[in-house]
Amino acid sequence: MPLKDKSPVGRALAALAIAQNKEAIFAGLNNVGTVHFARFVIVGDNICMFSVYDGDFTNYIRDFIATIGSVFNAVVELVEGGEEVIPCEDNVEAFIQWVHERDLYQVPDTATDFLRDQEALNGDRAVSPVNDDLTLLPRKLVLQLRANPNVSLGSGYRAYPGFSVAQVRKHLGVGW
Amino acid sequence: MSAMFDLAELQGNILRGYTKKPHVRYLILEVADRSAARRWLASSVSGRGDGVPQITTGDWGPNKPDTCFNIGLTYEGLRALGTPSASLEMFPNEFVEGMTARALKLGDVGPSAPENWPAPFNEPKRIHLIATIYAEKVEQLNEVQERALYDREALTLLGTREGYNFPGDFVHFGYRDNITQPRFEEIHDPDRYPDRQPRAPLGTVLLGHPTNLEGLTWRVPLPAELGHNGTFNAFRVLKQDVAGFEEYLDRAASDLLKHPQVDELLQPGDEEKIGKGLSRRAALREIVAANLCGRWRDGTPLALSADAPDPKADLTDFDYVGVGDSRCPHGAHIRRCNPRGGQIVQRIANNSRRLVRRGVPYGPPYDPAKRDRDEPEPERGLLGNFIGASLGAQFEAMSCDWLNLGLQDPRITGSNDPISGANDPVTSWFDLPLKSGGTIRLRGLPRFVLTRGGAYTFLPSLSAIRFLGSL
Repeated sequence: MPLKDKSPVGRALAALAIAQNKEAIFAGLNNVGTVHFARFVIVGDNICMFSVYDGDFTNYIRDFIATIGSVFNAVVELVEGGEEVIPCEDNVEAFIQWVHERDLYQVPDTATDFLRDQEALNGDRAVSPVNDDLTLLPRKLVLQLRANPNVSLGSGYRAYPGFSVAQVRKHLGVGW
Repeated sequence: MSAMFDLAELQGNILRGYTKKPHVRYLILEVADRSAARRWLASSVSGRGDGVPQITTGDWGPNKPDTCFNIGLTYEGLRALGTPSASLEMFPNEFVEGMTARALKLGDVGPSAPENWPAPFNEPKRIHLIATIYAEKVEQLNEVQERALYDREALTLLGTREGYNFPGDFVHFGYRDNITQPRFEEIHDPDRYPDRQPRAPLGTVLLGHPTNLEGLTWRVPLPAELGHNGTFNAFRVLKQDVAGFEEYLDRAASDLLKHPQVDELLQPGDEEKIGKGLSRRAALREIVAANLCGRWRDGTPLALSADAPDPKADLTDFDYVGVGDSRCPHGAHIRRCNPRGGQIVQRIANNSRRLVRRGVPYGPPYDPAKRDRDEPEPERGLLGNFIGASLGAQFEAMSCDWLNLGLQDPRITGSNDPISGANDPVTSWFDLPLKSGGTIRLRGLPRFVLTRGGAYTFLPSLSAIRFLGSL
């Protein structure tokens, strides 16, 4: 998410916002209960949140707002356009949508699934010979990468089958 | 029933079950002409008793109505009526997208997928308004329907669904249903039963009031007369495979008879406690049925009486903490839908995903004596309404994370709801708890419930109906 202040000062403000709220963030994530890993990273003039979580995206963000919405407010306040959706406690639906729209697009593992994503995005209009034309796939990917320069390539590698946070914690005997 | 706000502002079916009116018919309607449909809405709250049926409110005054009539509008319906775009933009995403677009979250996949739904649900964008009629007799349903559809210019009937409450509130799988609903703060209801759950804030079911998640409010579409005191409904047509359910109980009981730990589940000689004259196999069937649901078929909660049905047990005054935690399977249907105060992974979510449920069976009751195995069983199931102020935070969160994924408890994660889940016999499982602390794992549960239609609707307040009628 692009920071409003694109200078070392702006990046420092973002770093401070995270540092000052670290305890609250950790406690909040514990209470959400479905988050495996989470971290904030500054890349260039963007602040990014990486997290691995179980279940539904909207439930995760909503529970996070309910737990520590004030932290989201402190961070999002520094992001371009963030003022439209804070305080997030009073703008739950809009905030979730705002985060979702800034989510990293994941290029599918199978390239042709990209066309399916376009269909999902375009609804009724997508079901047409044009949209299903495989020869247009490279062009569509170029357009996608022009609109979203930062994407995740595929679903990534994992060393073991999916277990929920609570399953892992229970197995390790650290309470869930 | 009384409240600190005007109940006459609410549609009656939000807080009332209309339990004395067993016949229910749903009219699935399309706006034929915008102006005529607006006039129709205005007439429905005009107070005149001769034309369009009058919307039943939450305040009945001294006289109970003979019939009840309520409406819900889809997003497409609000658009068809010409609701200003500034207002439309304030409705939540899940409602805007509609139920069919949310199929994955709801487990509407495979044979339950929207592309397999029959008419009129195969054309979801044409469904604009769902009107519901409640009556004591079928003739009354016909009479109200005739009045509702008198002006052919206003609304086109796309289809109907009709249900009938069985005596004793039993439903197709043979359980007693309609036992418990949330009790709300600010609403005094002298008839209500004891309930160990806290009273739900009014924002659980009405827009514009405090919600169960402290400090959070759901967006109220403006103008206030449109959104305030409105709510949302997930209307579902759920086909139930009763023959398949009973066959599964047979199979599970036969398997259990051969299980080395079966005596822990049912001490030899205790069969009579489960039901008069029951064989050991028949008693085990009932034990399986009770565990899958979390209640015995008479409604007795396992959290209070795990060994046998108890007519003296309170049906609602229980929780999954202390003794009640180990007595009811963590994966039982009613516990998955509403874990009450029990330990769950999403610590802040206890009591936050509660819903008002209004269901009525459709199709003939299952009678094994009349079953002809060469003929397909007649379709039967449940016409369900799941009402809450946020479809996303309540109905969808409950359906996705709890019913389908079992994320609330690591002991059930990866399993599906045993009764209503999208189960596949190859992978499905369910753990029966034993007193020793161990479990017996049942496998091979097929899918007992298929979605055969549905829609997300907005249940507008009386002010909102007047607003829409005057556009």
